Amino acid sequence: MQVTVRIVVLFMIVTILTIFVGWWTVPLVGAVWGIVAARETAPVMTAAAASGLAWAALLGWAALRGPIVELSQAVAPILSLPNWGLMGVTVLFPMLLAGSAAMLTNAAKQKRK
Amino acid sequence: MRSARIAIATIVLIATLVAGYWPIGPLPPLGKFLHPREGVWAVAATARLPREARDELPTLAGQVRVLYDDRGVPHIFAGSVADAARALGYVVARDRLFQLELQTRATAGTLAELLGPRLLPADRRMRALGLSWSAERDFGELDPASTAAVVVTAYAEGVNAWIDIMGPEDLPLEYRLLNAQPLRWEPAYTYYLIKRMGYTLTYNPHELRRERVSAVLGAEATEALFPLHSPIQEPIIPVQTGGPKDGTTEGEEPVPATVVATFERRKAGMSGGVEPFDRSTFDPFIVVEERGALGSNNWAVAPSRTEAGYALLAGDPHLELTLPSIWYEVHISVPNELDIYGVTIPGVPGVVIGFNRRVAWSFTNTEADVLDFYDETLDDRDQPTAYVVDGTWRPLTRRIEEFRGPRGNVLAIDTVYYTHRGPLQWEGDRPRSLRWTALDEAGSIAALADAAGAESVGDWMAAMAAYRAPPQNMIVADWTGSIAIRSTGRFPVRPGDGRGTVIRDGTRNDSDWLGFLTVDQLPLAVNPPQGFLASANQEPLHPDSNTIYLGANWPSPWRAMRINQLLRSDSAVTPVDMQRFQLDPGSARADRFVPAFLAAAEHSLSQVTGDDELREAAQLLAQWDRQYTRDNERAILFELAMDELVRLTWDELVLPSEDGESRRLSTPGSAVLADLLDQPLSVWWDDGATEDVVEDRDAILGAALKAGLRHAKEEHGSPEDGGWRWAGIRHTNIHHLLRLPSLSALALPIQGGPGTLNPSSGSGVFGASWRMVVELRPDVSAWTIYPGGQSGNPVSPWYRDRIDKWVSGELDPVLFPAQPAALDPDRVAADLTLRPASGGR
Repeated sequence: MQVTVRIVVLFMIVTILTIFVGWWTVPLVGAVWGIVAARETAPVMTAAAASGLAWAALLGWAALRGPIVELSQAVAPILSLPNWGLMGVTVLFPMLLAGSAAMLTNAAKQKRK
Repeated sequence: MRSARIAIATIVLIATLVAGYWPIGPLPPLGKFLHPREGVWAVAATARLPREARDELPTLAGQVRVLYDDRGVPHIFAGSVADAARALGYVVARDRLFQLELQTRATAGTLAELLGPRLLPADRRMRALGLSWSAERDFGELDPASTAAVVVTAYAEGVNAWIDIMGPEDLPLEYRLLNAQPLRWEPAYTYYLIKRMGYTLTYNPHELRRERVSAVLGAEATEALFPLHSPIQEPIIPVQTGGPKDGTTEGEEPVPATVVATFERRKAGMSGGVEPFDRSTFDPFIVVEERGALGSNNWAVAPSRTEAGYALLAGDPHLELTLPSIWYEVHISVPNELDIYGVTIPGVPGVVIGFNRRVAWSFTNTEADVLDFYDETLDDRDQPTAYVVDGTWRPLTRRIEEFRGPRGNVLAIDTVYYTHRGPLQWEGDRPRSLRWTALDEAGSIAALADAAGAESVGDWMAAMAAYRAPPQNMIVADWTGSIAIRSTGRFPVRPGDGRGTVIRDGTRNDSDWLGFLTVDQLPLAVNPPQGFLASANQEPLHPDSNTIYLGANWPSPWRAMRINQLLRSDSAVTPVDMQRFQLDPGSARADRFVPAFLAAAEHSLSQVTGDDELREAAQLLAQWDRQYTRDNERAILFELAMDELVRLTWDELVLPSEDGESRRLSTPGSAVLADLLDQPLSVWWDDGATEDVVEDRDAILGAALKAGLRHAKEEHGSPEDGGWRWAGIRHTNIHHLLRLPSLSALALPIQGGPGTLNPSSGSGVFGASWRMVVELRPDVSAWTIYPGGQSGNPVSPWYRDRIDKWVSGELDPVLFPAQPAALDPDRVAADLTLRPASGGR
């Protein structure tokens, strides 16, 4: 599979599971991806990018429903973040979850070989 | 290399999972918090109310229509008063759920459960005062069939209906930040809110302050500095036409020489041996100067003095300003029973200040003395079981107070003891019981409910006669042109001299209160010849016409003097005038003190010509128009000079403390200081720091003016450089309930200063929490504003939409439709229909 296709598939899986199940599915998806895509190019990066894009897309959808920029500017200082920091953290969080989980399982699979 | 990658990946995964599942420090669990659909981002999705919504309420008897206008004001059209209360609870919870809970917890003493152990001292303080105990008792004693019980219960049903209906996306931001869920609303919580108002408005234990001052200065000097009656009289109940009157009789000195001599002897005897200020017994709640910022205005003008020939009424209660506001604006309509508009306090099932189609009303705090302390004798200091009265031991009632943290862990357990008078307090090691009308049944819910349907001033006054606490100066006007004001509430009748200025002997039964003033004994004025009535927390009655003790050490009547000055000078008042008066920048206080400063400077300069600093200060002060406008560049000089004047004059009230810093015991009111201006040689003017010189009034005024100039230059630069601009110095700060700066509106430039009708306190957190002008036409007209907005959602367009207008003194004309169809469709922002749930009543 091409990298783009892989990212799109993973993006859709993360999006659907996040909405209907919960945030904790993100590292599970990453972990599974680290195993099943062990032979593919850059599985860790793919998992991280797809997860980040999925949550970014969900943020975009939230932006259609309400003033998320104002919200970020109001909430970010409470968490000692710069005004746009909350959005950044929201995208970074699933990337770290999925990427680190994929890296662990991918390394474990390669070690087993 | 691979091992390093695995190690890093493991650390990152564990760290992100931990941060996702558990709160870390002040951070909520990030997984739930950052979730793009249900997490914090959902707060944006719920910023606007849906254009149309239909919800089912289990206990609703009939359908209720709620139309939100474009200011976010819900117009509730219900078929019964109980259904209206349910709908009110529902819409208030929808907009202000977190505020409802936080206010309740503040009184219940359970803030630590929500906000953590650092709130434990505040919780302990609240429960020691017995507020939650009395709230629960009051609700428990209610007749279930009474009006109060019906509306309070219905309101709770409405709040809980919203809690049940709301989805995860509706959870307010604050709960997300705190990783908490809303508390279900109990009917008794309404009584917590009422107790909270009682605490805010009447917890003024001035006898403790007097006791401390008296220990240093002696009883007579204390009496002179904190007098029974205001030295400048502008009473609420008019006694005659004309200007304010001196409260002292002719020839009487505000501080008698004998008193001063007594003080001087004490002072000499102290010879530096004044007891250090004991911080362990210092009560931070006793800060009279801050209490001075809690004030309010209301006034009414009879048709004979209005341009249109209809009665006018204005009100602006001054309270702590918060986001969201303490007030929530609402219109409630029940055919043939109720058609009322105004503001409610979230948690109270009705309009507190407002109007119907016939009558308008507003309140100011009476500042009455409704609290006494009794020295008690206990059988055991550490484990008391009884206290003595007339030689007989009476059992103490014990209440165990358990304090918990956010995870349910027990933080502390206190035992609060009660005598028949009230909860036992500890002043150092002295046990004192507290007798306080705020702990009695307030009667305010039923009274407000009855008064809501009044058709005339007489009806309204009769209904509010049942109101008990906290005592309020209630002004009312009606469509026939009648105006009236009454200081209403429970005023204790005390034995002996009737005064509540000393700690009473708890071992004697005859120390107890004898009862309360009857309604016909309360200060009252109806349709006075002068054609207007006004109150601003000043002493209600002139001492010459009053022998009843209502309180002591009254707030200085500067605002009252200014209102009356404005009303006397205008015999054709319009609603626009009323609005202008609410933001009037003039100051009776400045009118009194500025001439004194200038005269003192002139006198001093006539004797010592080389004092260039005094000459410059006097020239700059003389340039001031005595207006606290935002662009004014001289008001700051006056304020700094006044600070210095207070410091230099009342130096006797400054004591050394254990930590080496001096602390002020208390500060007499500015009316006492103004009265002292007439005694140029009083020893109070003498500065104790100068041993060889005896200063007189002019010397102190001159020194204060010069010091004020020095401070102004040090802090704000040269007077020509623009740094003295009032708007750049004095601000209003409207903090979010959790004091989160990004959710607050801070450093707002404000017109007004200390003692002006639109006051600006030093901290900037107090101010006009609601402004209302009502014209009692046949079709009543009204204009209102409060600093904030209807929604508690920080990104709602109705969160802080009114602040700019409030700052500039604008008012919004209100919509008061008689039925839903009468509301202009273009101004309907949201339409909510509440229906009985299938299977409901």
